[in-house]
Amino acid sequence: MDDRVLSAGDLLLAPPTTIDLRRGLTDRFWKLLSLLAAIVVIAPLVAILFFVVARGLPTLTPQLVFNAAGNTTAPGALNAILGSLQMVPLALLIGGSLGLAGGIYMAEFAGPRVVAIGAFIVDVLLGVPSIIAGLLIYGTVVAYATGSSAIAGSLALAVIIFPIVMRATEEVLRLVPEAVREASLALGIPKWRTTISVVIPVARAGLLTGLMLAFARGFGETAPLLFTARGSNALNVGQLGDPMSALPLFVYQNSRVADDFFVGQAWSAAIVLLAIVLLVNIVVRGRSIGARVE
Amino acid sequence: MSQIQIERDESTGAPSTMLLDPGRSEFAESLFRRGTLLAVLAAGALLILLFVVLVSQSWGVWTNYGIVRFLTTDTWAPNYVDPASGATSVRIGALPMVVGTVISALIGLIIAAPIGVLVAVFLVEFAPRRLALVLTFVVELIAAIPSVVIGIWGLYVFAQFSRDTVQWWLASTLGQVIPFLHEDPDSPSVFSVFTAGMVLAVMIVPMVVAISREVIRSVPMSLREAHLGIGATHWEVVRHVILPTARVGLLGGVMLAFGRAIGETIAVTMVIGNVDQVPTSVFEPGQSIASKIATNLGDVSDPLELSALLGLGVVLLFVSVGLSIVVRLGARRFAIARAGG
Repeated sequence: MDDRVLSAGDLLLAPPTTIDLRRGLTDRFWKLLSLLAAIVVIAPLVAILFFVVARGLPTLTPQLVFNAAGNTTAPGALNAILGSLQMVPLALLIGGSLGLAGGIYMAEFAGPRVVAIGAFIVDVLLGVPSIIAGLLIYGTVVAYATGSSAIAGSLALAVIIFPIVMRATEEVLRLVPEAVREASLALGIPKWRTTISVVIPVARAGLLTGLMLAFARGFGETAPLLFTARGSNALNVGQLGDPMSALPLFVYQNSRVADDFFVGQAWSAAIVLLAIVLLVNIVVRGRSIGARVE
Repeated sequence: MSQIQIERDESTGAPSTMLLDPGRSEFAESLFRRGTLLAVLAAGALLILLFVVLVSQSWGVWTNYGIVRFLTTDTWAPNYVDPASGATSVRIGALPMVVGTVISALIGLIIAAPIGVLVAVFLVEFAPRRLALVLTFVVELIAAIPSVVIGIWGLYVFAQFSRDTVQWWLASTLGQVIPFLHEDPDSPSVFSVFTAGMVLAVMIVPMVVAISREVIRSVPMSLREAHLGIGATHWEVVRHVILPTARVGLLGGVMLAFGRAIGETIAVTMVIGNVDQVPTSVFEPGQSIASKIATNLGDVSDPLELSALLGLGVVLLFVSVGLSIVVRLGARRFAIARAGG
């Protein structure tokens, strides 16, 4: 009880009363319970990592990475890996550049009214479920232009990435000290040039963080691809008008086949997917955590 | 490191007036300003487009079937055969999905909200700084796990575990009294609205922690010090000062997490059971709005059914946008109240 907080009893040098003891115990109880809550929250992460590795590792063979799917005897997820590596960067190109531009306007040019309205729009877009992004592209691009296609999948992912990058860009640019801008403007350098050559280089690391987290997010999304890219067993490289698979889509579709051969591949692909997504997150977030720990 | 190239006059070496030429500079300035403004407008257009496309694509179900009828019919059967008369009719109802969505999200919230807030209290108030940083990092990683990975874990590992432990315990105690917690004793279903709720709890807890942490951190230090100074314990400060002060913000975080839960698709689809029925117990399989769209949109040809699936999307869109707006308005009032207004 040495860390018991000073109470009226101590001030009078009286021995602790039962009320004091109970308060101390209650304090300890809740501290312990909150620690337990933290452990409970982490437990699923440990369980997921453990089971994904335990179930997926036995079937994680080089074949899975080098073969395309569609073979009933040899595993293969190359079509899905290449699909993700095509659709996600394309989505990042579209959604990321829109997001960067929007974030730049919000942080550098917009007046208070536009900032308020813009932030509201981004808030709402961030809250829209990802399957709705898939429905939007399904009801437009898929229905009237391309049918199920990689480009439709990319656009659906871009709809998700756009507000994420826009919010990250705005927040990062606001962290750039005003003095940096003023120093540049004082040299007679126009605002747009100041933004491109001074503000953005200063904020470069933060902008990159936002883009990489958006990439990881897009890489792990399944729902928006279900009726847009739809998935395909064929090895599709560059045929953006045709259906295309992606790693999350591969995991989802194979996990639903009642056959150990396919379920095993789903677990193995889940290892690859989880490794890529967590690696990006650890590298990007770990750097900032490391800086704060020191 | 990129450098600013300044063009210089060849004879004098002085900075070229080109750069300072008002006409050219203003043109570039307005081009850049308008170009980036276009992206902000695109965000607004995207939001409007979501509503326009979804509502127009689902127009058939609203006009031919009716809003009220769609939302209150408890059967999803485009070719419904009446068991008594044998007559066929169209019955397309969103009720099973609306109920499945709300119940599973509420279960997720009931589990995730208290745990998440408690973890946030631990991170801000109790934990040593280094431990708090590491824990925050780990919780952020949970949020980063792709939902399909959580889904496959839920489908093949967690669903059975949850049925044989938590569900069995709840059903054999409270389930004896409360019909809504009753399980079929002979063949309890592995996949149920309850399983979906548990999986959702895992997925939304990081969001509850992240928002609660920010809200609790924003409680002024002076309030803590004032109560510690008159002899309150740490927990008493949390219980009587921090939680009441942060109440509105915490509620906002929980509502945003609810919004996240109702829209979560893949993981829920994999564990909810995909049966279009209004569950009479949480331990029965059901269907959520998102899981219905995910499982059916790919192979529907009937135009009315197709527009009904997009109609489900409209319901989801309205609810999630509505939640965002409510939370944002609440946050503004909260900020004004805290500023002393």
